[in-house]
Amino acid sequence: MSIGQLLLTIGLPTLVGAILIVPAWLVPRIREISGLAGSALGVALGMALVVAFMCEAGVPSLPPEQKWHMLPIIACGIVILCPVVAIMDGSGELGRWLISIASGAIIGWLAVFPQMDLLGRILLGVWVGLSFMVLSWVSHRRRGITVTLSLTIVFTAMSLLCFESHFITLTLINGALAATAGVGFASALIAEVWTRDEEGKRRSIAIGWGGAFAAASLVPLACFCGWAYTIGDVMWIHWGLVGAAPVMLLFGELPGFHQRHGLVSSFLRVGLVCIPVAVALVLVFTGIDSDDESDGSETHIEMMYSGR
Amino acid sequence: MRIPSSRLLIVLGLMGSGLFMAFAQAPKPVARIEAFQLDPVHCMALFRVHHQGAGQFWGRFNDVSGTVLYPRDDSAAPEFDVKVAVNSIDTGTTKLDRTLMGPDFFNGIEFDTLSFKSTGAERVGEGRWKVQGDLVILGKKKPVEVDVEVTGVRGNPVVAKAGWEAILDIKRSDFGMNWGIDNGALGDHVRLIIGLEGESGPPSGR
Repeated sequence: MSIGQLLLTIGLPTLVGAILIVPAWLVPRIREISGLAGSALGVALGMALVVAFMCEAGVPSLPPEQKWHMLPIIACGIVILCPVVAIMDGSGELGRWLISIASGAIIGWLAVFPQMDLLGRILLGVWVGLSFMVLSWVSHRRRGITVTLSLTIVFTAMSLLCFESHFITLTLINGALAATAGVGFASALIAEVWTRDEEGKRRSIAIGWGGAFAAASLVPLACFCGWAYTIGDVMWIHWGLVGAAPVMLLFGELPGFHQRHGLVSSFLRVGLVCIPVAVALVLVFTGIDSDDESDGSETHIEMMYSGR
Repeated sequence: MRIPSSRLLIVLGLMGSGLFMAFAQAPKPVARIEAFQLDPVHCMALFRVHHQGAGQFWGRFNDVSGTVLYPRDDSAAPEFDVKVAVNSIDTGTTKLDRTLMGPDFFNGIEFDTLSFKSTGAERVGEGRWKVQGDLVILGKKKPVEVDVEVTGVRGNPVVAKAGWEAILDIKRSDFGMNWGIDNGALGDHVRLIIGLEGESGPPSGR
């Protein structure tokens, strides 16, 4: 793949994400503005999807010409709703349930990919709702680095699955989402290590309900979209393992583990997320049949761009 | 009564010339329009697109089906109703076939066929036609003009085979297939060359 293409489709959304995340998380005065820190990651992820889509496929039309073109339209909705959800942060269990049900219902209703019947849409909606419950809960209990690094790993893995599914645009969109989550991780790490509050304690960043809402929506969405358009050897179980991986953060809250704090325990929790991701990737990349008549040294995208 | 042989000859001559005139002035019989069912084994749709601003990249669709309404004597324009199965794409490389079948290009999961249906035609020469019609790619219908050459007709009064070669140029962006245009990976202009062969079935009733 050409460097210019990568710079544009992954670099530009990441730059947009950095412009949103870095000031909101690292500049103390800006960070104090209500709802800003809690919506920065969510808005950045939504923007990343929209910008990456536009770099690859142009401006999305309304109504969408193809079913997967619904992705940037839903992402625009996420960008708009993120600050609202972030402001609702702290409204208690009722607010959490309300957002969970509403986001699941809306996304399950809007996202109609091929091969998705009513059951599939219900499953997507439930998945989005449950993911928000888990991520919003974890985001309050754990440092920003735990969730952002987990998201970076999950989106990177989904990018690889999309690549094997011959879906170039979604490969790059997931790459942009992974890079944006990576910016979030770096910012959270910097905040954690180098900034102190008035009492000299380390400042921890929480992704907030805004970030949790965007992540809980985008991971299942990208997962279902990739599954629906898979042409090749990637199966539903592989998508399921990667898409459900953030839920593994719940195991980090089990008795005996939940009282562990600090950077090391954060990385251990991320390790839990890596387990299903690693299983899925090993299954995919060791199980691919070699039915290609070419010598196998080139990928399909390389062929498109260069050699073949 | 005995008729003189000279008068008999004159009468017979007049009758003969009258009959000749009558046949000469009768309209020439026009061949009926037959429905030619396309034979997928002997039909193929080739496409070519500019790759990285350098060479022409070729691919083909192997599964072409449909019907052509056409009179054997070329007295009327062929009328095409052709469908191409997206999953029959063949570039010689399985991975590339899958990429082209994917949502970035032909989106075979959502749109399993490309189609063309004639709406009109004008003769441009013997066995040559400019055929207007609607081309549907990615579910988007666009009017196009196709250069068609009748490559041959053979058969007996009962069944016949006929062949056509169609060439058209399109902009794939018109159909919403935009991947790789802006970054120059693949060109926007695509030339389609379609070879068709069909066998006539029962009369079309037209």
